[in-house]
Amino acid sequence: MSTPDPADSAPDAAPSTPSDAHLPREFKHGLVLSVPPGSLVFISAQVAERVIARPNVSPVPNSRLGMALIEGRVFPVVSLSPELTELILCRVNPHGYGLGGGGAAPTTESTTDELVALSGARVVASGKFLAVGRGVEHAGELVEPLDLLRLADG
Amino acid sequence: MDRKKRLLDGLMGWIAEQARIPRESSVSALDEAKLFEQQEAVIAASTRAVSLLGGAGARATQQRSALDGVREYLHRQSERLRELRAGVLPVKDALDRIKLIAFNAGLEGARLGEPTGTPLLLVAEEVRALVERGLEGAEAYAAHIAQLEAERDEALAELDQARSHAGAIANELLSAQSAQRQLSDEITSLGKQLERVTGTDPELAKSVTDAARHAEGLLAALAKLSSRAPGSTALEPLVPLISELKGVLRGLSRARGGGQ
Repeated sequence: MSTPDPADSAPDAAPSTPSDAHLPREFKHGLVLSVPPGSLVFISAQVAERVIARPNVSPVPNSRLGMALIEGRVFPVVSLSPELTELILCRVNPHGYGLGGGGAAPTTESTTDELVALSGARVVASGKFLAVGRGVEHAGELVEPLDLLRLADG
Repeated sequence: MDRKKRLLDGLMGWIAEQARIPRESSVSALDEAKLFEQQEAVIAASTRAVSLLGGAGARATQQRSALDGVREYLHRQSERLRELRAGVLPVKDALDRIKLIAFNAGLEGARLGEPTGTPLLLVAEEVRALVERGLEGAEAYAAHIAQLEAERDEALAELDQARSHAGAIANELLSAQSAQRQLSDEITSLGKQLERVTGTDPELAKSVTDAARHAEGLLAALAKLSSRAPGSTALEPLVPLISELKGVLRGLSRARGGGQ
């Protein structure tokens, strides 16, 4: 499924979410993750729902996905690495939103949004980060956004 | 055959005759007495050596027991270290959970936006920083425990070696003591053999030695007195006794003939 790239959105486009309404343009909110063997990726706060401590993840045969039972619901799990880590529950819109770049996203929760869990990455920091291009800056490093939809589509 | 038999008989007869011939001894009564004295001194020294070896063996056994005690202590310390190591895990687990809570709080603060979410963001960041410090401390604590466990293993290895050495020393000392006892027995047998060969009673020989020593001392003192007062007549009545005493001493010092 083709998805609009948030990098193509006009740099001066006004933010359309309540959380971004009063923010200066140069900041983004979200999580910075460490993916073994040592790279960092950024996920926007509009995409990352919450962090869950290590539930059991069952692999799905003939697929690189897994599944986990969280609070009585089953969620698909995408592994970024084989390391056993906490899960990051993310909201993905199959129509192209939720790409983690902090770009344009629906103002209300879409009924077509899907929740997908990420494993194999450790949360390094959460909160407000200085926006640099499509990504953010953390501890002097440029952190690129994670293309979650591409991962989920496999 | 007859000639050979006559030759053998003649040879045996000659050997028997030689054994019967009394020999002139070059050993005097005083020499024999001194020999018995020396034999007694060797027995005394040997007995002392047996006693000292026994004491050393007992000390070595005590040392081994003490080392056993230290080993027990180190094993108890192993248990304590295992408990300490197990105690760190729930702390680290709890800190990890608190860190996740802080991340989630930061996410919520971000979604709420400024200014509503700012306090939550700040608290989340503060909690995360404190938890990181706590986790670092827990890691350092776990590393110290691991180091203590490694040192304990080294100590146990050294201790086992020391116990082995102490055991070997104790065994060797016991063997030495046994050998020394055997030596004492042999020396006692030697004394009996000496008594049989010389035909001298050891107690009598000892008394003779004592008397000879006293007589020599008396003669030396009298000679000194006489040289200091050459013209004195006070010693004149003693002259025959002195001569007799000298004669006795000469007799004791002379080598004995055969068959005394």
